[in-house]
Order: sequence, then structure tokens, then C-alpha cells
Amino acid sequence: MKALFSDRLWLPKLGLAAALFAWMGHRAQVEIRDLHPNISRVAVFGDALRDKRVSVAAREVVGHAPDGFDLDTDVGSMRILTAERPPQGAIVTVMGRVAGNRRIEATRVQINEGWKWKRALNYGVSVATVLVFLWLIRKRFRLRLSEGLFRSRC
Amino acid sequence: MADLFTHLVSARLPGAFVRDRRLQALLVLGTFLPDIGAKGLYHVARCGENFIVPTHSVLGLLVLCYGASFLLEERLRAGGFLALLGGALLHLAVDLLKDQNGMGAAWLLHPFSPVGTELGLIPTENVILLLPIDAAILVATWLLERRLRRVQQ
Repeated sequence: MKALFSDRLWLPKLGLAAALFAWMGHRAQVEIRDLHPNISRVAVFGDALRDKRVSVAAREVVGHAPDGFDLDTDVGSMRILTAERPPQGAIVTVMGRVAGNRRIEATRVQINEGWKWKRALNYGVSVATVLVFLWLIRKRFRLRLSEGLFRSRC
Repeated sequence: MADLFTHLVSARLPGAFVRDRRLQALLVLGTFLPDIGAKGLYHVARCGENFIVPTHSVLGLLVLCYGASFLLEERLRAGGFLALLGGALLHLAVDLLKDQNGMGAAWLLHPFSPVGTELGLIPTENVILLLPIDAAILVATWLLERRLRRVQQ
């Protein structure tokens, strides 16, 4: 156990950890792409992906139709088949199944009220939290970047 | 994502019982690690949106915290690793409370299972509304910490 955390061969150990993490990331890409295809693939290969579960997060409603409503996405407008009619301009998150090219049959529609200001506040608070916390703990550590390490002052 | 202030607060209460103030700080930094890793990979390294899944899985965090522990000096590394991992697992516990429309807020068993998990108690964007409660918990923890220190003296 001690060998795992020693300075001896630290670079190969770090490299191995990075490689393992990259493998896990790659595996997630492949597995989840099949399980929950990205919305951009639904725009092109909708029929081939029929019945796969997809999620479209925080997108604007741009129009209504007799069988549902249209949602603005990075790959153009997408028809959401549902009985629900969120107001035009509302930000919604949709969970559903692929019903064809650019068509998603919704199993759940969630209206994200105040999404823009809540998201901006979330990021602002998060960045401020990290910066203030790092400033507060600066005295507990000292930087020795030339050695590639943070060293404690104790 | 839940805001990092909420994650910080989640680590302050257990952190009050950690005597070493460096490990206390690393416990809090551990709660930041999953989101910093995920946002860094997505926005800076431009990795695919599913590549970030290991930053919110138990095994992925084990590896991430191990890698991050090499930023610390040798004598602090093993303890620092445990503190970072404790914080990162707390992050997962808080994220699990979110409602991500059934897609999962954390992939606990990845790479053994690609299925995401969530308890669905609070819509993800509404976590920010907990800020006043977070601030109250932070003040209460600070008072508890002061009291503990006085008792120790």
C-alpha cells in the first residue's frame, strides 16, 4: 500500500491512472451512445434509433403542432410528440423515445422555470466558492511548482 | 450540477471532526473535484459529453483522486487521497438527490454498468435555491467547530 503513494516511479503511476481514467471515459462514450443516443444522431438516424431513450435538456419551445410542440436544438427544430403544451419560449427538458427522424415521443416534459438566471447564478456561485476557498486555505499549503508538488507548510 | 457552495457545505460538517486542517481542506477540495474534472474535460479538453461519466462514478473517482494525490507531498499523499476521495463520494451522495429526468445524476457502478442513478428529490436547477439553507448550515458548523476547539483546549 505504501508503494502506491510513494515518490518512487510516481510518473508511471500517474500515467497508469490517467490511462485507466481515459479507458473508462472511452467505454462510457461507446456504451451510453448506444443506450441514450445524442440528439444530433436523432436528427440524422432517427428511424435506425427508433425506441431508444433520449433526453433533451433545457431547450426552448419554438412552436406548437396538433401532435405536440417543436423544440429548438443544436441540430435544428425537433418535434416532441405529447399532449402537453408548454408556452412558446418556455425552457423545457424532455425525456422520451425516438419515434423517427426529428421526432421524439415524450414520456416526461419538465418546464424549467427561471432556468437562465438559475444556471448563471449556479456557475457564478460555484466559481466564487472555489476562488474564495482556495484563498482561505492558501496558508495551509505552499506551491512548489518547480517540483511539481504542493507542499504543506506543517 | 449542484452548485459548489452546496457541495462545500456538505463537507464542512464531517470536516469539523477532522483535526488536521490540511486534510480538512482536502476533504472540501474533494467535493469540488468531480465537477471541476467534468467541466474541465467537457469545456477545456472538448471531450464528448459521455466521456465525463467516470468523474461521477465510484471507480472513476478512485482513479481521479489517486491521480490528484500526486499533487501532494509524499508524507501527506495517502491521507490526502482518502480525504479527497471522501469529499468526492460526498459529492456523489449530494448529486444523487437531484432529479435528472430519469437519466441519472451519477453512474455509481460504471464501468460495470452504464445505468445512471438518481433519487429525483429536487430538480437539478433548483438546487441553487438551497443557498440560504446552505449558509445557515455553514454558520452552524463554524460555531460547532469553535466549540469543539475550545473543548480540546
